[in-house]
Amino acid sequence: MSTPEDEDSIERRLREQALRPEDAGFTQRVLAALPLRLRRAPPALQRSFMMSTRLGVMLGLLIAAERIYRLMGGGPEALVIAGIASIPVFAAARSLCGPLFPPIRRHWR
Amino acid sequence: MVDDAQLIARVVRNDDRAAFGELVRRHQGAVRGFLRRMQGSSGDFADDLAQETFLKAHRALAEFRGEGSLLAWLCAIAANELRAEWRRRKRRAEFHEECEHDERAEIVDHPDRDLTAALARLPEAQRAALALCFEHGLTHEEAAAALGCPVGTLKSHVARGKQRLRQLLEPGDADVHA
Repeated sequence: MSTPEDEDSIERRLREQALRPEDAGFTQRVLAALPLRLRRAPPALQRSFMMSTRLGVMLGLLIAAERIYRLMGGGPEALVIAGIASIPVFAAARSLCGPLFPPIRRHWR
Repeated sequence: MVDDAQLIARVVRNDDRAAFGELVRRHQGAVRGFLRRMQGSSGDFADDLAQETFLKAHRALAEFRGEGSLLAWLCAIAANELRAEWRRRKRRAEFHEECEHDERAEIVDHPDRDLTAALARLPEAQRAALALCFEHGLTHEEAAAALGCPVGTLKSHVARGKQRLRQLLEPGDADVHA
């Protein structure tokens, strides 16, 4: 009658009988499934482009708000209405383009 | 030999496909093996999940901080993929109101695969812990991080898994040796 396997022999068997399927076909398959991507611009250029885009969107929104304000006669009530109406517009722009103002870094490394 | 960190830097900086291919070549055995062990006998399906694991890793490679090994990080992604797949299967099974086909049951009938059969009968957490720690050489800390549980819980899974495996591999266990 054989003795029960002790824990060390179980660990040894697990190491010896480890499943490790490897073949070049799998590597090729993964590489073929990678998305095509254009060469990335340098990070500084990416940041510059991002900031310019945000600035452009901000200016566009401010000009639109100013036009609406003038169209409504330019009184204090027009200022309130333009202000209230711009809130969802800014929120939508933020969700589409990311934060329009750079986030404040609270945690310095 | 170029180490993983250098290959990762080449992938992140230059989108170097050859470097990523080398990472896949190095780690596919462990990732595919882990998923096959967890999934059961279906190698094709486990490989589909392994492919998805590597694709997700490629997308997120810039976020890899190198605090643990790359293999541990890949195993964490693989474990998440597996959980998501099981959730999808459960929803499908509930939707169709039919029993899910248990692929693991097929293995138990093969007399030459005692260890595989016994492992297939362990609870998933214990099986995953044993596979990561002993088959693929992760530390307890790395395996715990990969499976998203505390180290103490992982150690408990390992101890219980080994105990249960010992019981299942005893000659008298007719289910495994049938």
